[in-house]
Amino acid sequence: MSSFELLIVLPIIFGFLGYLINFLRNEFYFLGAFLNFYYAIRIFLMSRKIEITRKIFDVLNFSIDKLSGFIILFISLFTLLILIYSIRYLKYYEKKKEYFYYLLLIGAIGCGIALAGDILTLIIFWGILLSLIFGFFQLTTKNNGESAFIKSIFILGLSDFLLILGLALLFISYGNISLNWRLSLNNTINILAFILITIGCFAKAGAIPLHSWIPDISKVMPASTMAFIPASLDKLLGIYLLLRASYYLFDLNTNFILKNYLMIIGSITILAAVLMALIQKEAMRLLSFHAVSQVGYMVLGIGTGIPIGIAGGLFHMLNNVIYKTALFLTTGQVEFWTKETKIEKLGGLATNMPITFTSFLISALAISGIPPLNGFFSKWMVYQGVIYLYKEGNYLFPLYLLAAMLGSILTLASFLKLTHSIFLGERPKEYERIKEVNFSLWFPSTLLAFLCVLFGILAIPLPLKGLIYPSLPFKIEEFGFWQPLLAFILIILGTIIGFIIYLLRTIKKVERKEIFVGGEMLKEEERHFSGDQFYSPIKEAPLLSKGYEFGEEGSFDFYNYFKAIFGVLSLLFKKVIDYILELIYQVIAYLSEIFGGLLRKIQSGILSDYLVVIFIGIIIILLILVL
Amino acid sequence: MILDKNFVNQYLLFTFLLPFLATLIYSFKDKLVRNFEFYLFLILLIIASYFIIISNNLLLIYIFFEISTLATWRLVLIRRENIKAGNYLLYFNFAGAILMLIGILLILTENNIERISFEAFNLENIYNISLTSGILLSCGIFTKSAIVPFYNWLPPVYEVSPIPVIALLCGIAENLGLIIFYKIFTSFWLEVESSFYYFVIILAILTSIIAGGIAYFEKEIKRILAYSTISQLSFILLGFALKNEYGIIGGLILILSHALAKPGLFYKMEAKEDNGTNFGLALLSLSLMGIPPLLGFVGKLLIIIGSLKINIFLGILAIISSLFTLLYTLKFYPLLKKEKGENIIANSIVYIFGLLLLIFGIIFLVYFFKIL
Repeated sequence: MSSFELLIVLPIIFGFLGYLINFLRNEFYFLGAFLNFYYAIRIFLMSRKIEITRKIFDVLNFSIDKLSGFIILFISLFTLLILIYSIRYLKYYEKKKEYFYYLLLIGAIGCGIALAGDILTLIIFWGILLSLIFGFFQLTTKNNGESAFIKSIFILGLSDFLLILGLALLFISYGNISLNWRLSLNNTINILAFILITIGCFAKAGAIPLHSWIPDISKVMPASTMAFIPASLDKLLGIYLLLRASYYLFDLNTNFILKNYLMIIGSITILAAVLMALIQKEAMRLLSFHAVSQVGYMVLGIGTGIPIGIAGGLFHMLNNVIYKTALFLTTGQVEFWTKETKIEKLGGLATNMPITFTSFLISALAISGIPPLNGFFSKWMVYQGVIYLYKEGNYLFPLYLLAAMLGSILTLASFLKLTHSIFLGERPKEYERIKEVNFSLWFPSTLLAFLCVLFGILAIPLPLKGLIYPSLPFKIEEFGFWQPLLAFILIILGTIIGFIIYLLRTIKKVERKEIFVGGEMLKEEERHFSGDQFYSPIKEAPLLSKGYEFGEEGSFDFYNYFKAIFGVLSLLFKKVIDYILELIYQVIAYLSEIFGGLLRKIQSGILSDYLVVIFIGIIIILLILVL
Repeated sequence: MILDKNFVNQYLLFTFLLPFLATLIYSFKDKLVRNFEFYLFLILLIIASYFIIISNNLLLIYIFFEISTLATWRLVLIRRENIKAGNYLLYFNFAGAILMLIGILLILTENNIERISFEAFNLENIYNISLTSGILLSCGIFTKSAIVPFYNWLPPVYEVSPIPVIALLCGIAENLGLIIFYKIFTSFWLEVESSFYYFVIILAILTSIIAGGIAYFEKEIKRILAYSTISQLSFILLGFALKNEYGIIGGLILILSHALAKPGLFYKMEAKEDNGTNFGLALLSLSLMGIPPLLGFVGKLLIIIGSLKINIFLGILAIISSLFTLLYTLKFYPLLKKEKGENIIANSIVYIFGLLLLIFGIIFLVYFFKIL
């Protein structure tokens, strides 16, 4: 047994032991995830030095290079963190032992996808993951979650079938090839296969138009599920496969049109999802729209074909899984006490939950692209890649740049709203006694927030030179103008000066006065000002209002179109084809009945009737003989 | 080795054994079907299907084909209710069988047989089949396996029959047509006009998509599953009609997959609610969708690769048919989860069939892709 098999098999075995044995359950689960993480680190270190391929049962081909090593490390890290979080978060949940077992299995199989060395292995692991997600979602759906569950499985399954079709096309034209052939995209089969594979990646990662399952399941799943599947694992795997398909299995730089196809999808994803996120009134749903929006940057970066842009896209994926998971987890911590995710009913929890607030704030600033945090750095690399398109003669680049920058600004706006309405502003009376959650709940999100700061300040030495640059097949040109450490020192200086100014002033207490409206005093509970009305004027804006109307009704939801098309087809088959066939057989039955009735009338038992029949028969025979 | 005749025969015998045993064991607990007549026709059906698998003679195949029709007819009418639906089955299958007999006689005349004897009907003596006789012969196959335009008898029968009988129908009786097609038209020494295969491919893919669409339209579980059966069986026929290695092996695997998954889903309607049956139900549904590492995936993948080898467009149509499968599976899955019976034997059947699909799936994956 090498570390490849142990990486996948050990969490499965320990998960099974935890499933069976009651009194050591959490310890076994933790051990399984921890061992997975340990072997992932070993494989990661191995992949730095040498590329290894390995065959198991003559069917499964595992190969490890720098890219997959980096992905595996983060998949297992997130599995471990979310397991630690869930043990406390789901303490009173009735099906928690199955839940944790599924969590470990999905983590292990996700590592298997990143290890896959050829087409068939990739198909097998990709499909196993789908069947596990089927079970996992089925466990956690609440009473009214069936439609969301069906929608998510349908979109993932549809994309899986298309991915299998794309890989099967490659299988019949080249055989079972490994995933680093650099096929050129200039014949029909390769282009078709590439498009089908990217559809699979888009559904997994959640790019428009296959995004609609993510906001839908946010209503019915606990925060740990949301943090695990749409926020971390699916981003890691989907973008990994997209990069693998674009620059290892195929060579995207050989086809100008396909590059633009990726970039257009990326830009649309950024803008449309952010605009939808602005007006949401539920924290989880808002976050899930951002989880969709951030995919746009990755797809845009990978689509540029410029080394700096691709590195930016990959780096943004890494940053996104860090801060997006942290955001989901912190929202879950708030929900753990308040049992509430509607933002109009929350507020003022910053003083009660300082640790949660700090990690939430850092992640929110990172996702909005505030320097010197990591989100800014990767977005900035993507912008650079987009600007470089000018040198290649691609004159669409201002549009992409505009979409990306506008998306960043709107992200900041929507997070101002969310932060204000959960942690700042006035606190409702019933939440006054809320305390900070305990260690196992705040540790994962705090660690991730710390990583946000670290990857922002030390971006070039740590993540870029250590993780991102080695895992790409090109040489990255040096770029300048931005020194995060200097900027960080300046920002710290600025805050210290501001703090000194704040101390020099005498702090006045805020005066509270009765509010007088319409001839009477307002009561205490009517004064609560929530943040959900922040951007309501946008909804009435001339152009956007129609778009929002359509968006809320699900007019941009690919799933609805698909259901409608297939529904019409099935109606046609049932009401036309089935009906016509049924009619034909009924006519045949009717005619045979008439014919049988006639024959029965001839058999009357009277001799003269029989004689007439014989006579007619003789005449017919004679006619035949004569003619 | 895998397409060796003896091996395939043993494999098919094993395939039919599983639903047969399940029904036999189930019937001990079910008072409604536990009578002499049921056991008599059950044994008759399994004997007929075993003879069809092993016999190498067109006349014998025809005789046992008719016997199996009679047996299914009596099994469907075991409770003496809804005579109309049962008679529908009988008329359709006999009409198809008569056309089949005409086809067999035509084949004999085409191959210049001088003296009609029992040996004259042996498959070794036949060296070519024309388009007309092929279509006539396959009319019997189409009625038995419910291919367009002869599938109308099946949904009403499913609506009125008791569960164990439906399990026999979709596990054993309807596969007989496919097996006859496999025995006659995929043997490589026979010269069949190639246009005949195109005709069958078009019919099969049409049936698969149309029946999938109707299944998505329907609202009752039994009817959804009936149309789903039609869709799956025609997909198997498509695999056989491709006449390349991938398609034939894929079809043979799908026969086993379908003979486990469909009866299992029907027995779920009679089973009690617990974790084991829910797990089994999930496995059965996923196998029907064709998701790795379950058995349904292996067959579907091989058939899709085989159809892509013939024509890209055909492969895309096969994928569309798979999408319909996904749609109606997700439609009946929540409905079936709410169904509650009280038979404990059905519980174990669902669970065991689900696990078998998983185990066979892994074994076949390892075995095939080592070879191909």
